[in-house]
Amino acid sequence: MKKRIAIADRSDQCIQCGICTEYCPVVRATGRFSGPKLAGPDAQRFRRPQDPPEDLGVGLCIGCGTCDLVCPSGVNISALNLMAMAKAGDEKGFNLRNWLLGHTHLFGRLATAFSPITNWVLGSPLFRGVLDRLLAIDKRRSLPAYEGQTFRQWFDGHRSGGKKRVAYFYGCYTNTNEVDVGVAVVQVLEKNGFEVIIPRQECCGAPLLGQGDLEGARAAGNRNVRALLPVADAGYDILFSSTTCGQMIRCEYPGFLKIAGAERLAARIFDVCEYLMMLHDRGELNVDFQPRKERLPYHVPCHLKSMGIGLPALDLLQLIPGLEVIEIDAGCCGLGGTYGFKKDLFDVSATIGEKLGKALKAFGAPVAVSDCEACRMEIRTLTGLKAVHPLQVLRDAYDGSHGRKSAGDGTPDDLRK
Amino acid sequence: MKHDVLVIGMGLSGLMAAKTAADHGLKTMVLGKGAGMLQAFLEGIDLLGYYPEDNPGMLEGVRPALENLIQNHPEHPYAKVGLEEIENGLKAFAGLFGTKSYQYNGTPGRNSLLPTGIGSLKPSYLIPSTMNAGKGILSEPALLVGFQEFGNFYAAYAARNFQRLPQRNEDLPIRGESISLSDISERKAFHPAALALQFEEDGFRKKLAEKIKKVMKGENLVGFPAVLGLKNPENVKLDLEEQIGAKVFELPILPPSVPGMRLFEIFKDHLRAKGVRMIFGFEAGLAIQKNGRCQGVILKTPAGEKVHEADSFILATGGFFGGGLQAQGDRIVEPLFKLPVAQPGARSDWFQYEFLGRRGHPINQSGIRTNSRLNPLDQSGKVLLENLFLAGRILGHHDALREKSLGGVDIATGYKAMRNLIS
Repeated sequence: MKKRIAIADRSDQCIQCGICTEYCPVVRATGRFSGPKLAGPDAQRFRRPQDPPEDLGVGLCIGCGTCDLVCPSGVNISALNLMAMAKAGDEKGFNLRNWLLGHTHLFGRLATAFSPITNWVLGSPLFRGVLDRLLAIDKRRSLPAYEGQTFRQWFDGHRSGGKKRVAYFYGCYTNTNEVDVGVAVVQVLEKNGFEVIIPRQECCGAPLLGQGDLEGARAAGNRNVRALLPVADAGYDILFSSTTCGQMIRCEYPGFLKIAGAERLAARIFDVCEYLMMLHDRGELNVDFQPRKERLPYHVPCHLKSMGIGLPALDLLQLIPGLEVIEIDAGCCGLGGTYGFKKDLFDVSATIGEKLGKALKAFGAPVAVSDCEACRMEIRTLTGLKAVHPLQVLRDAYDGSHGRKSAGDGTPDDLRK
Repeated sequence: MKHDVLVIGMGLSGLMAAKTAADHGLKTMVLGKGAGMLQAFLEGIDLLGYYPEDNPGMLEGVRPALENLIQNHPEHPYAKVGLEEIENGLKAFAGLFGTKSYQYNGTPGRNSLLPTGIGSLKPSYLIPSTMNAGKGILSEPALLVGFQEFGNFYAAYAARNFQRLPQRNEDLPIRGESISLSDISERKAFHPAALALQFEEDGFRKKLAEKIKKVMKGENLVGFPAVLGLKNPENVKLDLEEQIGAKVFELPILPPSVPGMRLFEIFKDHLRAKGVRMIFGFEAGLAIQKNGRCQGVILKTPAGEKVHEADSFILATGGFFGGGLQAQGDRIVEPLFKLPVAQPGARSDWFQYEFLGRRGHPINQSGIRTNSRLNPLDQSGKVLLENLFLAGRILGHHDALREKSLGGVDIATGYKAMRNLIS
């Protein structure tokens, strides 16, 4: 049996205050998870590198990273849990369900090419019943639909122009499932005088990390760094619109995965809202927005908090005259990327999301704003509301179309027409 | 983006400073290494419970003792704030709760005796309204309810200790009962916050009330560990009272503290509504200092180092627990600004022989010396950074746990530091 994972840790900094356990959304939702402190630093003290981990429910960790944020002692709690999860996976061997959930990017091109068929299959009760029974992918959760044209195909038929140049990492979901987010990013950047270039890129590896597949994630990271670093070194800033991809590349590549060159890359990679706010601080942002008299709720993705860059989307949207964007502080949405699709975790995921669902419904607006595609997907499931990326709101404010363009309902463009 | 004020530290003193700044209309940001220590410790707000240190009795009237302390200990944080501003600070704190039914209450100028989860009485100045009815255990038959799955509170143990209190008539009945929650909790989750959330569910409360009614023997007063809800504890309490037909109160228990979490959320809501940005989870690196002023603080995030600039700064990073002070072998340092720390002369003087001695350990008095405006001073008494103001435990020159001033010092200095900054 292969045993390659040894755990380096800061567990001895833990002062046993238990704050991480109290704020863990999974602990609040179920007794099945022993909690970040017990499964992380506490268990770590009894682990030897080559031993299989005790079953403390590490697989229930949703990977939100809240434990790291609230810890007053700087313990790398989520990393310890992730390592234990990886080790547990190592011991248990190959799991087809987790492999599929970690590799959805491989089917993207095919799924898009035959999107009407794909979407029909993905929505069919028979197919979902099979997935549910054979692979434990819960049939109660709807799978995201694929667009007929990828973002990449749209961009290839588009001519970007501007005096300044900037690079864009769009991510898989934007490419195959929510093309309008990528379109909005390009249009907003062009409104600010940028020519957008698209460097070579592939799945960031976050879904793999979520299954505890460290080697797969590291391999994806290595390939992306090899492709992106020359772009950064050539003087380009690289922007991302997907919080999870961005957090992965900017934080996990150099931090947890320790990928060579990733630190240099991290210095040039920015959240698109953060970047636009940096322009604004220098007085360079085009603020020629059409007023929009509306109140919209904004959900903060967990991985945005993990980056420690504040809430740039909120700052940015407040520049639109008349628009009031209100932070909904209701914690994790519960989807956790692929977490909520797993049959054994579906109930936990649903319980976690209840609070956000209630808060958004009580807010009473027809559309919610969030940076992360997984959060948007979950907001639609929880509430039936539309959910859009901040840059879709911003793009619509430039031309005054205010939401008529951004459907944000998760339906692919070709189905909507 | 440059702020008017940057508050470093997200414990009670930092939050109080941020609130004062925001209420004054200043553009404010709060940085926290973690989510602050409120969640770990705070139950009631203590102002001063024991003084002078060789007096074994707990204080009932607080004001004369505070006046004495201010006179006799000019380096004590209370002396830097002054009696009037201490009271103003407490008023500002009370203002945080607005029209909420959940409040912190007390009798002006007097301590309350707060019954605790180990069956003792503790002098406290302001206590959460859900703990108010607990005072009745000295005069009424009472039932304490614990939960079999919840190890932070043992009802029978607390009841036995209350029974032995000299203030209480031995024949007055007080009992502890341990109730199982496994069959009524759908989530089967029993950590404090998880329990508190379930107390907010109607179905859970209803089933629990049925169980409690079965073990009650005519008591009019029922005590619970302090987990009765996160968001609306007063509603939870009132509903339980109605269902079981007795007065209900909460007992402060071992950390982590649900009342601390509630208070943190109330501060967060207030600050968010005023446009204050809070970033937590990242350690502040070195401060950028130039010409006797602080210009910015470097925040260490996984995405790299980021400089946060402001006109003025509040340092409220706490003591040894919070990380504002660090003990390094033979000396105590302040890691962020490298401020000189007033401390015992030698390592051997840090602790005294008796662990729970009345005088407390000298190390607990260590902290940064400031002028009356709460600016840090160098060894010769010169102001080091004129736009840096200190608040909370980092000020030292007091022993909060020993004299029972935890919370009081934080509110008073957090408020006053910001008032000094503004004026």
